[in-house]
Amino acid sequence: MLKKCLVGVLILVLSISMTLSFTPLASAKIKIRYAHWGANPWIEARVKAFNSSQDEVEVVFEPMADYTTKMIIELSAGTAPTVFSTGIWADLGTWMRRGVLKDLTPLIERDKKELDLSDVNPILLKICQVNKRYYAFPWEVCGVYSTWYNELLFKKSGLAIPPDNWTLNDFITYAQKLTKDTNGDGTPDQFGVSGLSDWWNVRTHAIAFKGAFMYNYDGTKFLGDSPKVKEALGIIYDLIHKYKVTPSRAMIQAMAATPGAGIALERGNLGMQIRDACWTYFATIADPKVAQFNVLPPPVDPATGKYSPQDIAMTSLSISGSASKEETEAAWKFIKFFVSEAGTKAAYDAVGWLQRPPIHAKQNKYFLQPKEEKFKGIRLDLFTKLSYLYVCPENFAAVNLAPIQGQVLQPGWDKVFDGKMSVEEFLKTVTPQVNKLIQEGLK
Amino acid sequence: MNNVYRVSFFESQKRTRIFLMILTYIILILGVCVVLLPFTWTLSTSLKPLQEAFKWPPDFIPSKFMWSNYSQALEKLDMIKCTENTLIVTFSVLIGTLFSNSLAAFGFARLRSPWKDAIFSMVLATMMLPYQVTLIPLYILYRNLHWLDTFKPLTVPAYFGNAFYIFLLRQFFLGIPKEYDEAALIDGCSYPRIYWSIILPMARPALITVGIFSFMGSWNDLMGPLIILSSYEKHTLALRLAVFRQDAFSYALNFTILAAGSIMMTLPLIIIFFFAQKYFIRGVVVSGLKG
Amino acid sequence: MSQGKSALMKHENRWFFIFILPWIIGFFSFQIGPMVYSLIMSLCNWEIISSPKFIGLENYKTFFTDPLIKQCFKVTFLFALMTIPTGIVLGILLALLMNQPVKGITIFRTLYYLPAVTSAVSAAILWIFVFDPQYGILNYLLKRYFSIQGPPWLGSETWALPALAIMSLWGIGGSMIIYLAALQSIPTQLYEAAEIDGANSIQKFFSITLPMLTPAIFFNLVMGIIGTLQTFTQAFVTTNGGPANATLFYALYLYNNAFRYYKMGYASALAWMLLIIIFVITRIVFRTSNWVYYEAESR
Repeated sequence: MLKKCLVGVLILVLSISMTLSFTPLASAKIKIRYAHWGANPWIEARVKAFNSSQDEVEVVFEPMADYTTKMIIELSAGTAPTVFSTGIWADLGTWMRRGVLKDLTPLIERDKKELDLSDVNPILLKICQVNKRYYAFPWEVCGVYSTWYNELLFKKSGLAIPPDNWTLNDFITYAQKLTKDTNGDGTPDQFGVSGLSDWWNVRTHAIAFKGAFMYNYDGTKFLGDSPKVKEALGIIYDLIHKYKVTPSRAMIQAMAATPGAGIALERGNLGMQIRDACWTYFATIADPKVAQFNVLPPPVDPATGKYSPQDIAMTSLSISGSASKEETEAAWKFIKFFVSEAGTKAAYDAVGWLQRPPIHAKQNKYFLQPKEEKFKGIRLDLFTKLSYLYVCPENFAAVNLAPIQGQVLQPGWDKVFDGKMSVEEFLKTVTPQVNKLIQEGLK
Repeated sequence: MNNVYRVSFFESQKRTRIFLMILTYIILILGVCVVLLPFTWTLSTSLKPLQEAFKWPPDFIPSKFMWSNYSQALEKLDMIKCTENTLIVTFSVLIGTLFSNSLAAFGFARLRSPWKDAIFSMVLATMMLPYQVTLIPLYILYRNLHWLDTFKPLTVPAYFGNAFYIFLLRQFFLGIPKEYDEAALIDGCSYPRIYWSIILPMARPALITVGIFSFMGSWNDLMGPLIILSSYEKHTLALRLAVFRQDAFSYALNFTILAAGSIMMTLPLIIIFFFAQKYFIRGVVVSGLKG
Repeated sequence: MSQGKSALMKHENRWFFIFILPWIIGFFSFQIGPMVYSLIMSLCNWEIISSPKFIGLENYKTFFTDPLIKQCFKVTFLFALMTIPTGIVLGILLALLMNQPVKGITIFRTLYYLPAVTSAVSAAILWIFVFDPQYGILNYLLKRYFSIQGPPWLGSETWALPALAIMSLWGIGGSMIIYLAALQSIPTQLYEAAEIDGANSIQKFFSITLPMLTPAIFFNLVMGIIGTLQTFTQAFVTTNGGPANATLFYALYLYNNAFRYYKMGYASALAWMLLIIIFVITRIVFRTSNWVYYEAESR
């Protein structure tokens, strides 16, 4: 009898404790995955700060290798992370149009006040939209191009630092004076300009020199017929073949694999390079005996007497189209923190400097005041002051950029670079092909 | 007269042998220089301070030996956890590979069947379709099995054969004389017995070769872990290094640490190969067939 | 008599299937499904992140009119011609060298095998440094010892492919150990018997070593064909098909179509066309393989 009672009590105790253990906790933490193309200390700092600032959402950071391939597979199989980085180097234009990204418009509308987009360049927001619906939210301003230069080389060549209103003709003169044979072997090993074998850089220079945009504002047409594009590419052609101020393709290639190799600013054998703000990383790896950097505005177009209009790009965050309502809210909470001052400050505190300006002008102080000693004196303000020039969301709205660049523009330009094709021929061949690819992508 | 002739003959033989030996050494050392050249740069980079690493042309001897790069790699890249993961996958694959492929190769090499040639063609055909187009359907299969972000897709298929190893082992098995099988069959041995007690021991060099290839293959495999794994803690060595190489800034900032990491990742393979040689290089091969 | 024989054959046939059962299970679980899937996709227009659309044989029609396909074949077959014969000869020579009972040979073997053990990505980065036209070791040595101004290797339309071939041959250690294992499997009795008959080294090589190596040579030949025609990683990491498509390997073009141009349907068609081509070539090689000597089939 006693035994039976004891057994009964035991069973009761067990079942009560089991029931208690299955009771869901009052506030279950939502775990969401966030993927980015590689390890990144600024992002990791923001993720850490977000996780410790509240208890409802935990973001698990997933640095990925071979980002586009893996993301495409996961997006198609429905196993993609809830939130992930997007941008031009991750085919944003194509993803936006294929329904794999969540429509953020209702969320942005709802939280308009909290977001306070009054100090954000409207073009950054336009880039994230297709047919007036948002599919991404920007957090970093990229593609703001200015002229990085090596002060030491200028001094060595006896050149004065040009004034802010230097012209394209000055640029060419400087480039020529900076191209020389320093080791006496008969061929130049120091160059004035670099990167002109790569179509992406060619495009950058064409816009910086002449405001020669390659696509129209909506990204639906390639402007290969425009006289501006022809003129700008002609100037670049001259830099390569007439003035010969740019290194060969192979010399640039080494740089792609190994920082510090090839013809590069940080190696001290390159005079100038038109690039965006993130190239401050040069300063962290350069030997100050060999290279000291600073920034100049892009050269003034002699035809207009003014700086040319520039294009702009950004890195953004998107939410997976297959995310549940709960996950979407959690991800959106994370995104809001990410771009807020708290987020930017967390990144700044952790690393000591920012790679690029944040989207909110009010937060520019974190970009403009790096703690890193090596950056003191570099005119980072040029990347924020010249923002009035940024008029075109170049490329972002354009779809099918990878095949356009890989199949048509780069192989075509390779021939121009080698002197086997003229700029006119190049434009005549590529324009219809590019437009065809754009049309295919827009369908 | 005969004695003198014999002595000088042996002397010249000895001289030829010494000459050949020196020639062999020269060729070997020259070859090694060619082969090791790319590595010397990684090795020296892994021991340099970060600033020095970007000097071009590079100095091969670092000014000071930054052994801390190695400890930093262990810590920052969490190499111990990654090595653990890599070992789990690699050993699991090794066992599965040796088991399933030797069985199949035995079938193709020692047994007759009207279906043999047709099936062998299919085995080879599985190697002829580029993996890029089967990635997604395989991924979906694993998703449906709930095997994503686990090691199962990386290890389980190894227990079911691999065309490369089946073909390799088949070639080696075909080099073993049929007399052994026939003698054993007459003695009443079953096929599994022949497989286990005769063919496997005789094909030791081939099996060790397969073991080495399999081990090296899983250890260095990037594509599999990249597609299947998501969680940071499950990364294998190859994947962890790739992730840190992806972002340009991260790459530059961790350049010397990544070099140290690569050296550490390759080192175990070198050590294993060095010692495994003992097992498949034998001085004398005893045939074992008496009369 | 014939009844006994057929019973024996049935018995052997049954055991054959038992031994290859693991492979058969694996084939039906992991191989056939994805292969059929890709075959169906080759008849579709599929952008991966959107649903596939059936278009019949359109992709195959495009294959025959695509101008880049000709370039791909040119690059891939040229590369195969450069690397397969040289690879076999070099592999055998190296294995013979590694088989010498010279002191310290274990260390040499390990060092020669080292390249095969490096991950493809690390190797590619290393070789970009070696091929650097200004400061790379290769051009430096050419200039210093041969007074030749080396070409811009990976940046040159003519020299990029040979550069990749050199890179590929550097990894010969892999096939070397297959030949080594084969050499180790040759019974020394044969050599002893030959010595008694008065054969010299050269005769021993051509009548014993080489024939006994033919199974391994055949393996490396077939695997060379199957593997080289699918070369991808080296080109992907170093030149990405450039300059001006001089290193546009077939598998690279396939990958680009699949994961960069969002044309997985076309990529699948490319994959199946390649399979057919490799299959036909392999079949021919098998048919003409009576130069291979298998001890087990000798009597």
